[in-house]
Amino acid sequence: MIYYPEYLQPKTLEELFKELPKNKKIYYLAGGTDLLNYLRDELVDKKNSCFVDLSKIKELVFINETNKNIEIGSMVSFNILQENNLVKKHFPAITSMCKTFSTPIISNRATIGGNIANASPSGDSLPVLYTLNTKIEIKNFSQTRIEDIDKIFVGPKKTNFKNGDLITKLIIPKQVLQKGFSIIGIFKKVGGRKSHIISKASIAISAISKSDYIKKINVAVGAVAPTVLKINTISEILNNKKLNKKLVKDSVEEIKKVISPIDDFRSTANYRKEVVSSLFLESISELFKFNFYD
Amino acid sequence: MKKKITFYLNNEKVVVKCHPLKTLLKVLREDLNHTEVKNGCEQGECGACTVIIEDEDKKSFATNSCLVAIGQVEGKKIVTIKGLNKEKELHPIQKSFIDEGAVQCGFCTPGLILVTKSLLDNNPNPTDEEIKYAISGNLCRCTGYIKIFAAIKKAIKLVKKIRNSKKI
Ligand SMILES: Cc1cc2nc3c(=O)[nH]c(=O)nc-3n(C[C@H](O)[C@H](O)[C@H](O)COP(=O)(O)OP(=O)(O)OC[C@H]3O[C@@H](n4cnc5c(N)ncnc54)[C@H](O)[C@@H]3O)c2cc1C
Ligand code: FES
Ligand code: FES
Repeated sequence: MIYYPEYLQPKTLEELFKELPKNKKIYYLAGGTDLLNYLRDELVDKKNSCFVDLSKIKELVFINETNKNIEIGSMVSFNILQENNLVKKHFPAITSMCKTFSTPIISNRATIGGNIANASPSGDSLPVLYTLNTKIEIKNFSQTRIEDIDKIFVGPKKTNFKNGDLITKLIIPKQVLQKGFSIIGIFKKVGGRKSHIISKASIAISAISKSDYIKKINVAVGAVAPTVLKINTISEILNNKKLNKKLVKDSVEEIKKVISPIDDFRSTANYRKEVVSSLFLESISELFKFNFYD
Repeated sequence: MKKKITFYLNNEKVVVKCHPLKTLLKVLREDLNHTEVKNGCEQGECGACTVIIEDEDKKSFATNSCLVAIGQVEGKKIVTIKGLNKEKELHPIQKSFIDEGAVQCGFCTPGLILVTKSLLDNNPNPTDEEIKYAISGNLCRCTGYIKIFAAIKKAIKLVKKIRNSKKI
């Protein structure tokens, strides 16, 4: 007989925390596009686990605007995120990422909360959310805490979550724009082929600019170190500057410094350095409509 | 821990008794003998197992049934390729796939026709780019996609013609 973990399907958050067993490892089932693969591959201790299906909890599916932030429910799927006008207006890097995220039929179900909790260094939403200084709301029984996204990852596929921690929403600050300035953003990745690829290297950029003048810029890279990295030294180089080739070159040097020098089954360290540098040049060229390659 | 799960399959109510974490693909093929839903990889990569799911809010989308737990479809409507034709009358998308020779071994065909249906239901006038994007989660190892693309272009015209004639 095939053995399955315990299964719960609460309809509200209140019900969820009332039913949550205390003596089992909790796996929240969101879109299932990672978790059902882990179950099939026997990576779950079935006897001692409980799958808590989030698919009926309507409270977790929303995208709202508040005074200072845009808030996104953890059960929002990537296809909904891709079409959302608030997201397009405030966070173009998210929209850019959604366009290359997995396949359209996976995007119909894969959720942003699942992508974060899965904590893969090649999770495509992560570098983008780093560039936007995203905060994550986490609930567990009666407790609620809010953490900066870069604080929750402690290693590849590892978060600082305690058993039962549930991501409820993302809180992303809106930018205040001075006249003439706009928000720009982009995400690019490289993998084995064009559609449904797991990133071997990825980059996200979010900035506030006026033609080639950069007020503020954030750059983060994925899949090239045990966790996603935000490269603050690039912000120091480029903030409040008119962009030129020298500054772009200095930024590339900063990228090369942070990439961890390990070869693994996916690719080598040298390949990664080269590829992330080109991704950066490609992205900057596209964003500022100027060829920074040579 | 088996559970009774009720959903609608090609517009008929069905009740299955199984563990809610069994995949929709397995339930369709093993418990309900709907082998028109193909198992190519069981890991979300190939799209052979594609079905259309309509949820309680009447929103419908195509997805990989190999990565859906049956508990998650409780109360929802599922459409497989068998739900498209009316008795012997094929759906215009099915006709176009045959006319354009877009079917060789046929393993990818149910999935590709269902993603096309879902695309045209939501967007009757897709651009070429939108078509290519919509089918990018469905792999075909035989045709090289050119004939599939031609079949979809033809289906768009055919579906429009039928819609217009119904309006008159
Ligand atoms: C064919 C294919 C292509 C893919 N392509 C990409 C890609 O291009 N880029 C990419 O980044 N990923 C990709 N993925 C991986 C996967 O789709 C994503 O990581 C997705 O976002 C996971 O979300 P989910 O809702 O399916 O999560 P699930 O599979 O339901 O859950 C994933 C993990 O997160 C936990 N979890 C889920 N929701 C919560 C929550 N609210 N609070 C706490 N924990 C939670 C689960 O317990 C589980 O451990 C791909 C997967 C497949 C099968
Ligand atoms: S069987 Fe290949 S995607 Fe489901
Ligand atoms: S016709 Fe054989 S896989 Fe597409």
